[in-house]
Amino acid sequence: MMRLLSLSRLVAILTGYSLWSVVACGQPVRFTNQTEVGLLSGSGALIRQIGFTLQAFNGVRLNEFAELGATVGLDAYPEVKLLPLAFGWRGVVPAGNVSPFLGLDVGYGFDWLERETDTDWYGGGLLFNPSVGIRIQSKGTDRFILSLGYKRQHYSAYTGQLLPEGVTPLPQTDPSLPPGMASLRKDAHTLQRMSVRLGLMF
Amino acid sequence: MKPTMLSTFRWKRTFIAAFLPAMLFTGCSDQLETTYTYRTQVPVYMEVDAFRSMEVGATLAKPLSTTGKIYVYGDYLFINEPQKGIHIIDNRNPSSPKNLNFIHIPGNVDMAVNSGVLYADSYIDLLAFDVSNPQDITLVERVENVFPHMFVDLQQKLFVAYKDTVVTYTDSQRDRWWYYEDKATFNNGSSNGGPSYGQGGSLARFTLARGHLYAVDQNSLRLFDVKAADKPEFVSTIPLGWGIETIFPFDHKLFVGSTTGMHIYDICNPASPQEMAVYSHVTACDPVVVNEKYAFVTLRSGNLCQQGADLLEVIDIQDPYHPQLLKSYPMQNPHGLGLSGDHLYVCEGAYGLKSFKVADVMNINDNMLEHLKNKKAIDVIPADKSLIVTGPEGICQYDYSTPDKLKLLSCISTTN
Repeated sequence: MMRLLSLSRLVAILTGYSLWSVVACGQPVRFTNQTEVGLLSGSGALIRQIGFTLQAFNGVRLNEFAELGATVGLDAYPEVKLLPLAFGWRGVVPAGNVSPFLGLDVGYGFDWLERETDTDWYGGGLLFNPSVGIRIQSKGTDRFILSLGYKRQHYSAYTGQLLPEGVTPLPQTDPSLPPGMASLRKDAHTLQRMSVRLGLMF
Repeated sequence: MKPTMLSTFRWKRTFIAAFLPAMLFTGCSDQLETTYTYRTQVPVYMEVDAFRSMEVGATLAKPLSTTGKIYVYGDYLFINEPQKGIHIIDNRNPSSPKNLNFIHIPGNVDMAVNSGVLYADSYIDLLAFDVSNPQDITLVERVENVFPHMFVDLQQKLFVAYKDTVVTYTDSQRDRWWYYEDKATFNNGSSNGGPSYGQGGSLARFTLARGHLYAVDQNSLRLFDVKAADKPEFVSTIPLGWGIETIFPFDHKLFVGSTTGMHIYDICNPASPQEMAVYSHVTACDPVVVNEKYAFVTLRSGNLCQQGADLLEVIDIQDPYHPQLLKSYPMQNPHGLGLSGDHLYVCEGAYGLKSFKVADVMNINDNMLEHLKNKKAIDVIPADKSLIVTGPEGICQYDYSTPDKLKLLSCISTTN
């Protein structure tokens, strides 16, 4: 939680600074949106797993080379569905109709879509998603996007057993076990996936 | 020079194009770190000499953190705090009980009071305290080595007690097959391990009858002569078979509930109980309560009992040598029960407390008087002034002078 707080603080500071720098330089603020769908492919522990990813980067153009903003989306892995919220940066090499770009998204994947019970629940985790791609300009300003990246996502799955009715153990409270639980198993997953995305810019 | 540079560049590009995806696919397997946290018991070895030098006796009152057995004696409630000692509560006014003081007794789980003398187990010893003046409690007798099943050596210099604790360990693994197999083992182990802690452990249970103190552990009955209240004397040990849970004295008889049945003992000669019958159809997990004609026994599903039924059974004991099952009633999750005249109180665990009129034992289910659903109830004692109900959240007392309408008088909450 502390890591999440300091991360969100960093995002706020950087976003604030970039907005300020845009406004201070007297340029009009230009917004940019990059919406992509794609696949997350990686070897799970034993078998190859394919997940689905949807994300939208909303940012401001600092100059013709850099964009800064926030990325929201949905990542559906076979085992868990997470809602990523990340600080995003795009570095562009303007080159006519086909412009290469670098992307970096750092944030947190939330487990809000997962159903929780008294004995089974999930916890979200940090995500790190660098990518490389191209922006292809067609008629006007509409652009298609093709990108390839690496996505590292942490999350936890918890499975517990409740105490039998009437059993009052000692110690009754322990910070490592929620009250009323006899046992708890936490699986801390680090998913490593290759992301392949197609998208549009608005 | 130029063609060489160009070919080097092309070679690099081909290399990257060919191997980058391969690296991405093969180099990135998931990581999994599993942390297990569970409650268990760890053995604690104690030297007899060190144990006997531990502090014993009355100290200032302290809040209840967890409640064990309860004993009612006159205007006082004695509440065990498992393994630590006994709280004494002034209950002269059940609407406003007062926490008087705490008797520090290491390894204590059970107690009984006889003529102003409190008997309490302390690991391997039986202690007797003079509690006739609760403001001035003194240890009057220590009967040594009377619970010898805890000794681990023949010289009786070392014994083992079990301490509830929480264990955490972490395991990093990448192989999914191991992961599932391990998960299955862990879950099984945990559910089988359920009975190893808490109230279902090797707890002694005490009762007084006909000048004798009867203390049961899991497989035997230990007998103490307490005709001289402050001089308990160990008489003998009677083997009972496995899984002894509770003991209830009534009219020159002892009713011993075990996980496999109900034993009836004749104690006309209290120093030498004679077995009258073993009623072994029931799997009783909780107190047997008895009146002149019938025994009421609860069966509960769950970890502490081997049978998957939740029942209240009525057994005809008019011929104590040949007890007969009269009728079984379905229950939700029955724990302790208490009988007061024609009224039976059944603790249904998380489902609350039920009261029944049992004058007609063949139609108990049609005669439920009340169901207090919001009070988690484990055990109940119909005392002179109040009905005392214990549960995980504390101890509550009810006015039961109007048996079909219980009136809450007070509650003592546990701090956890």
